[in-house]
Amino acid sequence: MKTRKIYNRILVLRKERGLSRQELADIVGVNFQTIGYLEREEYNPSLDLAFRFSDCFDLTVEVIFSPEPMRPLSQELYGRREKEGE
Amino acid sequence: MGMTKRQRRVGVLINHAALLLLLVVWYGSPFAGLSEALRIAGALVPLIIVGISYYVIHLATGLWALVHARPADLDERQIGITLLAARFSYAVFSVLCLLALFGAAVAGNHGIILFDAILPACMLYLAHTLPSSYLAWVEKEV
Repeated sequence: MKTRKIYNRILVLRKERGLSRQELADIVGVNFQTIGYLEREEYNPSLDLAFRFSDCFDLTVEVIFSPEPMRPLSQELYGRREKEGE
Repeated sequence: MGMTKRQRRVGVLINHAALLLLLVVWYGSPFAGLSEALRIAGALVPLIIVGISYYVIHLATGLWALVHARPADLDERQIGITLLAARFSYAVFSVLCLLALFGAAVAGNHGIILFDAILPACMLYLAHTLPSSYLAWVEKEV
């Protein structure tokens, strides 16, 4: 089965929280190189790993991962505010 | 040791070419009329190259440790890539084993005994290094 690419916001969220790759890797229980592969979107995580990121960042899985290319968080927030204003 | 993918690939090629050269020198020298001393000396050169490239490609990069680690010590991506490496190695190694047996059978029919300690030793080395060679070849970051 050909798998589709899963996009994510791990790089932005990690930097936002001031974590190194090694620190994030230790929290979610993977090798630091796996964090690099995930950030470059060269590896699709399992559901278990996706939930571990969700717990780590305290965000829902769909905020961190998506089968569609991710829009910047600011743009998404702006779009949501515009919708609420309508 | 930080090596680029290209450097790793060159290392893998050198390692396997030296192993092949070792076999060619060892099994080809009697046909070339070389003495036993020259045969051993000739085989020693590729053996040293195999040893050095083995250290650089398999040990210093940590690939040997990765493919020989217990699954419990690896994360899901590492388990995935080591399984792919094992699958590739199994396919290649089984074909090489059959070719070696076929070659030995054909040589035996012509009165040449091909099997001594060198060929099985090389096959043993290959069996243990093929998975890490595969990873050195395909992986972006090791």
